[in-house]
Amino acid sequence: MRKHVNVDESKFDFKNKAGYAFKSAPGLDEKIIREISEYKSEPLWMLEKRLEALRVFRNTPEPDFGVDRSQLNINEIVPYIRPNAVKEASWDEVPDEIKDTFERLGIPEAERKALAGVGAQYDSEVVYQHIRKDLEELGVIFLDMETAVKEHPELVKKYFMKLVPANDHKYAALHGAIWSGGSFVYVPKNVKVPLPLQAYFRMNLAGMGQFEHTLIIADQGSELHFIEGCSAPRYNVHNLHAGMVEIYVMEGAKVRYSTIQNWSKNTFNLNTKRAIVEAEGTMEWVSGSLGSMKTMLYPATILKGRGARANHLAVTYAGTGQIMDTGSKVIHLAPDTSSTVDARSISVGGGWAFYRGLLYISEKARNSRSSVECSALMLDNISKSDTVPIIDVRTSQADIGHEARIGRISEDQIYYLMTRGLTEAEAKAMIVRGFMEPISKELPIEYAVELNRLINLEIESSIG
Amino acid sequence: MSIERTLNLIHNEFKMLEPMSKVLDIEEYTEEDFLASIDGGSKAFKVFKRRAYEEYKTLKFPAWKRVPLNKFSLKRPIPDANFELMGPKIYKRFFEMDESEEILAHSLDFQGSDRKFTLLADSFSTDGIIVRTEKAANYAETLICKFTSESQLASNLIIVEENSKLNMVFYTPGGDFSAITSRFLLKKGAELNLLFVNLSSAQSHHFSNNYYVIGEKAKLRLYDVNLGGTVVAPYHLVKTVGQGASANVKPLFFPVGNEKIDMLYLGRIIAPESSIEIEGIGTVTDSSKAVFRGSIEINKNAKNSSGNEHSSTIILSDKAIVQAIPGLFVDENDVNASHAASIGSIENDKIYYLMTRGLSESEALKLIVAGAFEPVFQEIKEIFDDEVIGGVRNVFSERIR
Amino acid sequence: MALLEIVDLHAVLAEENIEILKGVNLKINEGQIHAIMGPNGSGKSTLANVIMGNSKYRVTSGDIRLEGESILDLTVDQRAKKGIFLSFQHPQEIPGVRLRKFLISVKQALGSKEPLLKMNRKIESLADVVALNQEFLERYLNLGFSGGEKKKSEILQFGFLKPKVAIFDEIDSGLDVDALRKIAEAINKFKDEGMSILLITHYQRLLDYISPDRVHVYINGQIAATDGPELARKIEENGYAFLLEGIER
Repeated sequence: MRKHVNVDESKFDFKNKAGYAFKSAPGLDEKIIREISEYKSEPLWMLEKRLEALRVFRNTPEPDFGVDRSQLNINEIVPYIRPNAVKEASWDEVPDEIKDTFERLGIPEAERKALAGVGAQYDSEVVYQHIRKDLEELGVIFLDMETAVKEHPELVKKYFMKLVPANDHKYAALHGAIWSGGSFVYVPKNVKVPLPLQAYFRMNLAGMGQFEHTLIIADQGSELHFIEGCSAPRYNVHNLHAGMVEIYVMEGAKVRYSTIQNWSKNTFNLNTKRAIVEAEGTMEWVSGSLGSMKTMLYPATILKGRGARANHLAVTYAGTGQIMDTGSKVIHLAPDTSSTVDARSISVGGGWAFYRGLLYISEKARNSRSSVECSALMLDNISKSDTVPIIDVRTSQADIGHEARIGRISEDQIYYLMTRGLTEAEAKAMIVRGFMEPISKELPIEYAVELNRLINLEIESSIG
Repeated sequence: MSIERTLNLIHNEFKMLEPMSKVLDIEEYTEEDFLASIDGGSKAFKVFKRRAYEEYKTLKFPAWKRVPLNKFSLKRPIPDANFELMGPKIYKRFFEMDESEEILAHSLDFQGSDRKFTLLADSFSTDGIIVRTEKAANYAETLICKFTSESQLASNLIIVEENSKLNMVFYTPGGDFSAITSRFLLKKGAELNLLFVNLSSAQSHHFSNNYYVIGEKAKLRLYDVNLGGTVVAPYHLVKTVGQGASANVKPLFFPVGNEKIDMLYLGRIIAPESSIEIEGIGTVTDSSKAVFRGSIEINKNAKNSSGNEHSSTIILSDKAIVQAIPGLFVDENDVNASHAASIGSIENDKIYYLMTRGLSESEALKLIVAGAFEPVFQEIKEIFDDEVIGGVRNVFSERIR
Repeated sequence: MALLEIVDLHAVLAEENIEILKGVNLKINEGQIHAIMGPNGSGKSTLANVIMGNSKYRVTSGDIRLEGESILDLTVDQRAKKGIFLSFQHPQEIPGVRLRKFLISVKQALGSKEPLLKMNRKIESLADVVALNQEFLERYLNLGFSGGEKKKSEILQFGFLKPKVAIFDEIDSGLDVDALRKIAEAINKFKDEGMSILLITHYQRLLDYISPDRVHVYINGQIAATDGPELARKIEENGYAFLLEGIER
C-alpha cells in the first residue's frame, strides 16, 4: 500500500530550474529518424517534417506547468521506436492486475495479447474488409496514417500538423519526429457516415500505439462519429503516450470524437487533441479518462467560423497513484459561436483530479455564448480535487458563465439505497454511475458498459 | 520559518509544477536608502526591516504579463508613509514597534502578489500603523486611516483582540504610487469590518498586499473597492485557522480608459466548520482590463466547512478585457465548495424593460450598471459611514458612459 | 378619435427576416377595453412588443398611430413617454434598483412635478390596493419576487404611471381564481375614464372580471375575428378551431 509521505516543502525547490530539466534525449538523433522513415518507405517531404520537428524538440524547453515529469526519461523509449528492434513484451511481463482485469471484463484471448502489446497483430482484417467496401462507395477515405501519407499526399500535406505544429509545445515536437500509426479519415461533402469509425481496428504494430497520429477532415456538410481507444487497460512496454489528434470540421459539418482511455498505471499520457471548426460546423469531444499515472490532456476546439459550435463532455477518474491534469480549451474567434463544457471528475484512493480549462472569447466573437460546468465528486478523504479555469473575454456582446462544484456522496443517499438492498459498495457505485451518466450515455454503448464495469471494480477495490 | 505561500501544488507524493515568471531589470534602492529609512525607529523596528531587506536584496521584480509591469520604476526620493487617522486612539506608529509585535509580524509573513513587492514595503517604509484593540471592547467609532501623499510605502499590523469589535477604513484618495503591506490577526471571537477604498489615478502603480489570520469564531467582513491604473494589484489572503471562523470578502472594481487591475483573493480554509465567501462585482469599459483571481482552498481536516467564490463582470465595450481565473482546491470531501464566474454584457431584455418605463437607452444602462454595485454599496453604508462611500458611489456613477 | 390605431401592420423578426405580423388591424378608442385572445404560440406577445418598439422586430409596412400620429420612428422609451405602458408576462429583475425610488424617478422623468411626500403616499396606497406588502417597495425591482408578486409589481407601476393606453400581456397566466379577481379589481380601479386598455389573454376567465368592449381573436399573425364580449364565450365553449377555416394563410 502507498505509504504516507511527510512532505518537507524545501525538498521541492521550485525556484531551481534544474528541477524540471530540459529533456534532451541524446539517444534520439537524426539517424534514428531516418531509419524510421526509411522503414516506412515515406516520401521525402515527410522525412523532412520529422527532422524539422526533431530540431524544434531539441530547442524547446519543458512546459513549466502541470504534472511533475522528472520520472519520464525519453531515452528509455528510444529503443522502442527504432524499427526492427524487439518491440514485443512477453506475456509474462504483463502485470497480474492487468491480466486480472482482462479476465473480469471477459476479453477474448486473442484480443488480450494485442492489448497487452504482446504479439504483432490483432486480426481484425476480416471484419474491416467488409466495412471498407461500404465506405469506398460513399467516397470516404479511411486508412492508417502511414498508407495515407503515400496514397493521398496532397491532402495529408495540406493538413498534417498544421493545426498543432511542432513548435506548439515540446511534446508536439516529439510527436512530429517519431509519430507512428494512427488513422486518416476524409469524409466528402454532404456525406453522412452511417456508422462510427473505430481506431481500434487500426492497431497493427505492437507497442506503437503510443505515438499515433489521427487526422480527420470532414468536408462541408458531412457528418462523422469517430471512436478511439478502448476501455480495457493497455499495457505499455514503455511509459509515454504522446499521440495527437487533429480534426478539421468544414462548413456545416459535424464531427463527434469519442475516446475512452485506460492506459496502464505507469504511463505518462501527454496527448494533444485539437479541432478547428468553420462556419456553422459542430465539434463534439466525448472523453472518458480512466488510466495512466499522470495525464495532461486538454481537448481544444477553435471556433473559427460564424455560428460554429463546440460541445465538450468529459469524465475523469483519478484513483490511487494517479494525477489527472485534464481540462478543455475553447477558443471563440467568430461571431454567434457557442460552446458548452460539462466536465466531471471522480477522485478516490488518494488520486488527484485537476481541471485546467481555458475559455477565450476574442474581440470578434460578438454575440457568443458559453457555459462551462465542472463537477467533482470526492469519494473519500485522502483524495484531492482542484479546478482552475481561465476565462478571458474581450468583447462586450457575449454571455459567459462558468460554474464548479466539488463535493461528496451524501450519507443519506447511501443509506437510502442500502434500505433497498444494495451493499455499501453497490450503493456508492450506483451513485457514481449516476454522476457520470450524462457523459457515459454519450459514449458508444459498449464503452459505457465497460466504463461502468470498470468503475465498479475500482470502487470495490478502494472500499475493500 | 516558512512564509504563507499563494499556491499549494502538493498532494501526498505528488507535486505539480509552479510556473516561474521572468524578471525585470530595474534600478534599485541602495543600502544608503535602506539605512535612511530605519533611522529613528525602535530596535524591534530595525530588526524587522533588516530581515526584510536582506531577503529583498536577493530578489528581482517580476515581469508580469497579464497586467504588464513594463512602465514600473522605483520612486525617488523614497516615498514616506503619510496618513491621517480618525477614530478611536488604539494605534501606535509602526516604527515604535516592540519586540512582541516584531515576533508577531514575522509569524504573519506571506508571499503576496510577489514577494518582492511585499518586502518592498516592509524594507523601505518609514512608518505605518500598529492597531491593537482592547479585549471585549466594542468600538462605535470607525477607525479611518487616510493616506495623504502622492506616493506611499507603508507596513501595518492590525490585531483585533479576543471578542472585540472594530470597523476600519483604509482610504487612498489618489496618488500615483503605493506599496502597502498589511498583516491582520483576529483572535478568538473578534470581529473586524474592513473597507479598502483605492481611488487610484489612471497612471499609477499600486501594490496592496494583505494577509489575514482568523481565529476561533472570529469574523472578517472585507470590502475592497478599486478603480484601476497602470498597474493596480490588490492581494488578499484570508486564512481561517480557528474552528467556526468566517470571512466574507466583497471586491468591487471599475477600471475605465486604459486602466488595468489584477486582483487576487484567496480564501484558505484550514479549520473545521469555518467558511469563506468571496463575491466580486465589476465593470470594464473602453480599453480597460480586469484580471480577477478568486480562489478557495479547503485543506484536509477542515470538515464541515464551506467555501464559495463568485465573480460577475459586465463588459461595456469591445476593447475591454476580462480574465476571470476562479480556482477551487479541495482536499477534504466533507465540505461544501463551489465557484462561479459570469461575464457578459447587459441583457438587452433588461434595457428594453427599463425603456418601456421611459428611460432612454443610456439611462437604462447607467441604472443597471449602478444597480450591480448598489447592494454592496448599501452594505458598506450601513456598516461604515455614508461619507466615504457616498464619494465612491459618485466616482463609480461618473464612470458609466 | 381612435387613441391607438394599428393599420395593416406587417413586421418581421429582425435577425431572421421571418414575417410574424401579417397585416394586423386594430382600433382602440379612448376609454375602451379591448381583449386579444389566441391559441398558444400564436404570437400575441409579439404584437404587444411590436407596439412597444422592441428592436427584436422590424416593421416592414403599415402603421401604428397614437392619437393620430405615427409612432413608428419613436424609440421604446419615447413611446413610453408618450403614454404607452406594457405590463410583462415575465418582468425583468433589476438588482440594486429599489422599487419605490424607481417609480418616483420614472414619474419625474415623465414630467411630473408632484411633491415627494404625495408621491410616496400614493405608491403606498397603491401597494395596498394590489395587496403587495409595503416591504416590497424597499426591495430591488422584481428581484426574487414570486410570479404573483411580479404581476402585482407591474400593476402597481401601471397604477402609478397612469398611461394613456396600457397593454397587459397575459396578466392572468398562472393565477388562481382569487388572485385573478384581485388583479382584475386593481386594474378596474386604476383605470381612468379616458384610459384605454388592451388585455392579451389566453383564457376567457379574466374577461368575467374586466368587461371588454371588443374582443379580437389573433391567429397566425393577423386578427382573425372581432366582435363583442360574446365572442370570448364562444371560444371558451368551442375552442379556436371554428375560426381557423377561412383564415388567409
